[in-house]
Amino acid sequence: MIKFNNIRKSFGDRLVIKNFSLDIKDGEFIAIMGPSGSGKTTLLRIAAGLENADSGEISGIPERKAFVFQEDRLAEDYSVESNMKMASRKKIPEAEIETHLEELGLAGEIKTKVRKLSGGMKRRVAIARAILADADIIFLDEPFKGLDNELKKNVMDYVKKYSAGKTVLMVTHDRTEADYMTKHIISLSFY
Amino acid sequence: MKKNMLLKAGSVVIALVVWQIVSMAVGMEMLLASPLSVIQRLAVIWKEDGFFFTVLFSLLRITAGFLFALLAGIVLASLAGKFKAVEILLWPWVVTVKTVPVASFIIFSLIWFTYSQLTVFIAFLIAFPVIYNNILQGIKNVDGKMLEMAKLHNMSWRRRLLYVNLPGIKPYLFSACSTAVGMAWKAGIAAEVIGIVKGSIGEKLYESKIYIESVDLFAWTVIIILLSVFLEKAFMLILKALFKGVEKL
Repeated sequence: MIKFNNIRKSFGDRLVIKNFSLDIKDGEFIAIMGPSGSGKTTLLRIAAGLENADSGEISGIPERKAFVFQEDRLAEDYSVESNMKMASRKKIPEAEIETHLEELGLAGEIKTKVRKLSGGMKRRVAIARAILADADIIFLDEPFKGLDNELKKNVMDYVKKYSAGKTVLMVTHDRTEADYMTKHIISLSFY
Repeated sequence: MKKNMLLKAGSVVIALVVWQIVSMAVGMEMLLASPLSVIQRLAVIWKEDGFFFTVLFSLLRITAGFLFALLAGIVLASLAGKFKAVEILLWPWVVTVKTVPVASFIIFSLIWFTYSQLTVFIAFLIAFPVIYNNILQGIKNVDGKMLEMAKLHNMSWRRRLLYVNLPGIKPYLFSACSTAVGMAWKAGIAAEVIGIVKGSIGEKLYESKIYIESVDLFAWTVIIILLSVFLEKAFMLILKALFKGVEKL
């Protein structure tokens, strides 16, 4: 069980998160919604340990984490395969990588340098890296940004399939995305 | 690209023609050799006894000095990038090496080193600050977002080095090596001339000055330029191949 207890965070005079509390059961998929500037990404970063809250406590965050950032944060000079493997603790066979690429519509790109991929392709590689990281909790910050509708559905199905049983915290501003991925939706505008 | 190459080749031809005209106007090969005489000299100089020994003598020593500088630059910049105290401790040394004229170092080194060590030491001394500063700059400019990603995913030091640090340092390392090779050559040859290092290219330059052999002076200068370009191109090719190999991992 992950517990957020009275999390508060401000940047200078601007209060971004005010007394946020939430309990998340293990294996739950939570979508966090809210307008721009409502503190969604900040909350995700605090939960992942990338930022400190001004006050409040978080407990129960698993040790093994994976994160899909708003930017892809890929090693551009390396192959798709290297990027997909880089966050994983276990050895991933090439055949498994190929399977993931096929499901993401990236078949045949295993040896392509990331630098040569389009924005949407890079996004999918970043998602696959997080999935293959074999983490107990996955943080997704606007993971489907920049994907066209048909592709988005495929990628959302992929994430649903491979994150089943894992705790997922997803930030999105798109209600349709949130509804498609989970029943557990939290809107930060209420806080 | 092709047009650019043609324009460059054209400008070289014009420069050679101007050189030939000025040389003819001076009228004394001893004072200003003509390009034609230099080309004729180059056609036979390599057949002379000891030519390859002389070239290898300087080439090996300058290359050794450069490689020591590369090694020291990488190790010390890595330490300075990790520990601020190391950067501060090294600062006066690096600034001194950068600002003191190379001739002062050469004369000082003549007291401390044998003639054969002199070239290695001076090439090292001149290349080191360029490599050290560039790599340190590269380390400081490694993408913070990638570092954050690596930290979050608890990536091993080997993976951080491979996927985060090396790509950040790469352009700085390439630029440092390209600049430092040329500087090591110029300083190394200068050391050989001032120290009159026996069996070196510098000694040949010194002899051509003593005997007012303008043609020899130009011919050896052309050889120095060609060797410098060769060394730079060869080293950059090796470096690119190394990175290509690493990026396939």
